[in-house]
Amino acid sequence: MTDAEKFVVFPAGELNCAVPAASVAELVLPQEVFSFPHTSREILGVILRRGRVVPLYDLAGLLNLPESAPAYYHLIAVRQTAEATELAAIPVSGECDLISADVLPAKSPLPGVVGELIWDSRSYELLDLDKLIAAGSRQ
Amino acid sequence: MSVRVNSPHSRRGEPVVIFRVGSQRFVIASAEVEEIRDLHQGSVPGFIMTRGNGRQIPVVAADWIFGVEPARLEQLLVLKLRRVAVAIERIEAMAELREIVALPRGFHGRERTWYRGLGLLRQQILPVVNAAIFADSAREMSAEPAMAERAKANSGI
Repeated sequence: MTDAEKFVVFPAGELNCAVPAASVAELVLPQEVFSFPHTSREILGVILRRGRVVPLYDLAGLLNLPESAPAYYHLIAVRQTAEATELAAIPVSGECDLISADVLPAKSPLPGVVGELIWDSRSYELLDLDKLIAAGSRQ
Repeated sequence: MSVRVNSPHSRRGEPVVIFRVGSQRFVIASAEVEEIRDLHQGSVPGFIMTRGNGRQIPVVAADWIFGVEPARLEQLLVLKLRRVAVAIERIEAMAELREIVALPRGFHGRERTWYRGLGLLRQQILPVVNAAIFADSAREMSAEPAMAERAKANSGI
């Protein structure tokens, strides 16, 4: 099994989500969030991790969820944008697992939801954080 | 009260002024600040302040520029070379900033022009404002007739 076939699954409020394990840099306890005025609505603030400033994205907002759940962890992912590689953090509202599963076609019409995983009798939305964030920044 | 700001660079870092507007804190390079004045008569954006040398310069309100909740503006940062003053709530501290990091690329809005970057100061992250935006805002205000009228009405403070 390769990293590309592994996924980190986690709850985001009432939604079960997954991201490719290869894109996950770290899973950490919630860090202090520093906020300052800005107009990028999909960003909640920034966290400081290992001396690096990492934007914390509003995953609930990006997924059009009714409300944000308290963060149990911050999942820090590596984003590959056209210009550079950058870290991005998202709040995770419960326990996470590392799993392997087959990817099924996405049922959700949301941009950034690129597939569905079934694991332990549950359905997980497979997220492409680059696409999700890019779509959020265009709104 | 009026305080002249001297800001020689030290080997340790860039001298900065930390100021507050409402619940937000910002940093500006001390080298950009000529003088810090108390603001005795309350504040509205757009008034003209008469300087000791007879020069008049526009005053912009920091809460208006950054779109934060209206703040009790009690002090003025008179900027060097920019022909503008900024009404702020208060100065919090002077410090030396050892590191300024670029704003993450995920930020794509007006903040890219508002800030030079983010300053790391004693495990805190503070936005380092780009002083040029205050002069730009003053020009925007003067272009709005309503603001210009307000400026006239409040001139001579």
